[in-house]
Amino acid sequence: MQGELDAGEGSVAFDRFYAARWTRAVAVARSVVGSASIAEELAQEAFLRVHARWDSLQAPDGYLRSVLMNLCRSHLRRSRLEQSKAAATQESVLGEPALDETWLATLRLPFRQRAVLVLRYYEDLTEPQIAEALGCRLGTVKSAHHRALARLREELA
Amino acid sequence: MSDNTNLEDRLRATYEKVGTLDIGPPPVLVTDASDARHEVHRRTRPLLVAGVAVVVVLALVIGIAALRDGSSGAPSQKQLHPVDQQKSQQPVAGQPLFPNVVPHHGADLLLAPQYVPDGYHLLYATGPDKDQPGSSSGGGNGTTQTWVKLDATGTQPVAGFTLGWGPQDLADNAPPHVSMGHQDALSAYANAEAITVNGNPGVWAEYLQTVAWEQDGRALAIAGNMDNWTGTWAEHLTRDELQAMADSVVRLPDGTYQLTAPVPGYQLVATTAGTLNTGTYGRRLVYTDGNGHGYSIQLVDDTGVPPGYSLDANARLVEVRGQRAITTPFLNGGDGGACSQIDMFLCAGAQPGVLNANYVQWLEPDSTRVTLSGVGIDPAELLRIARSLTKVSADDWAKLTAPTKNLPCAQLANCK
Repeated sequence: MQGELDAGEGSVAFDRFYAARWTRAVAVARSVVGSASIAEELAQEAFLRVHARWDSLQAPDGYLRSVLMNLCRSHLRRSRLEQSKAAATQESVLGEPALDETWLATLRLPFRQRAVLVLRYYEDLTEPQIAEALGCRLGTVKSAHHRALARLREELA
Repeated sequence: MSDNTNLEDRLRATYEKVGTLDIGPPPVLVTDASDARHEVHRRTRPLLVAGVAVVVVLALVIGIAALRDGSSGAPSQKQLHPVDQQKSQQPVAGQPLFPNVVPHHGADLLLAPQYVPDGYHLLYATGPDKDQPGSSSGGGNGTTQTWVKLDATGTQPVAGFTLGWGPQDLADNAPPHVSMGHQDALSAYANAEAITVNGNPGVWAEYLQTVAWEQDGRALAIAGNMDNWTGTWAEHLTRDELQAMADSVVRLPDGTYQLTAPVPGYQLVATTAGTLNTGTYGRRLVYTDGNGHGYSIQLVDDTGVPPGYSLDANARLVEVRGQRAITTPFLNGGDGGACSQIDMFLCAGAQPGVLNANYVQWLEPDSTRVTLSGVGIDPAELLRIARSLTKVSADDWAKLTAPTKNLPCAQLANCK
């Protein structure tokens, strides 16, 4: 990987960033879109966009997160994954593991609620940071967070 | 409170499991200096290669079918269905390629296929259901217009862009391709170049091929559609062309915006809200071969997702029942249907490149949106089924739904 990117200090720094963030970025995307293969595609695309802007980025982690969330949202809009029951059945259809009941329940949530949960409980972001990553207001994050937990409580009861 | 804590712990544990699953090392990122617009290309996964191969094979199958009987979903100019030729003429400038959806209440139109491929049988039939599918996807209160340029035959999109607008603070209404969250539209485009658009403050975001600006207290953006995993455009707009179009946008008295000088050849194909209403009065027929292949025929009223929304690089325009229709392997917004125990195989088509999924979609004259969603079925066959749909009476429809009327709710899609 490293050798094929542009030479120079910036490139070395990007390589380190890429290697260090790859697994977590895929896991985040997978938790949002529900598919390992799509998650890797989206993560690659996100890193490519980070690479394209690398020299001018002040906060690459935040930028990577925002781009990745935007790509996940775009993917879900282009597919039926966001439809109510489709996502919940997706994994077993494709032979991927259905982790547990909580996992399946989160995949039935709409994009924003799903993303808020992933960023809050996997990335350990604060609600203002989540708002930044998703490009929405703090109040929107709070309400999405509240609704997501309420719905999960109902489904997992 | 303790319920919350317990749930939060469960979520953390679940997500930690995701992070420990078999995620491979980061793949190679390859630079390609020959394409200035896309300097870096990702290494394509074998799965995607397989998917592309499937699409290529399908295209060949379609082409062969076209040569044989002229009924292909991707016809050449000489092989167009007679009505395709009629419909392929460029529409009047400024008029949408597809008619506007007219709200109507009540499932007046019921359709059933006269052609069912050998080996397939009706799995179930449901509807009309006033409240279904009724689900929505996406978010926000913004509006997006999708514009495309068709090839000389008028059947294949070769380029496209979107014009979007929404409240200035973005809130839930990010214009297309905004990737950074901020309290105002322009600062969302990090490191973009400041420009002036029609006398208003704006930015040019090279990496998004987007011109964004503030106008009348609103945020607007024109985004040149970039290539992605759903296809590659044959042509791309330049920055100058995108900015010239942005300069020509005017606000109409009803608060919407009009692009007064689109680049010649481009036409408006869809206007969609940020939150997509998939429709009401869903009626649905699902057929299967019992071996993981099948298709659904979904009719909905009052859809907010017109066919033009899916007119991307992979889609083709065809004629069905006298209407302009799209045939595509990727359907934006879905068909409004959902999968459950009984028709789980249909959801396998939600993953582009994974299975042979294909769709045919059009608007009937009364604005009923018809969508055929096929998985593991030849696109030409799906089109043939679509063209065999005929109007049936309410009594005949009741005969179709009767056998599956008493299936457990959990087995049926869109069942509450």
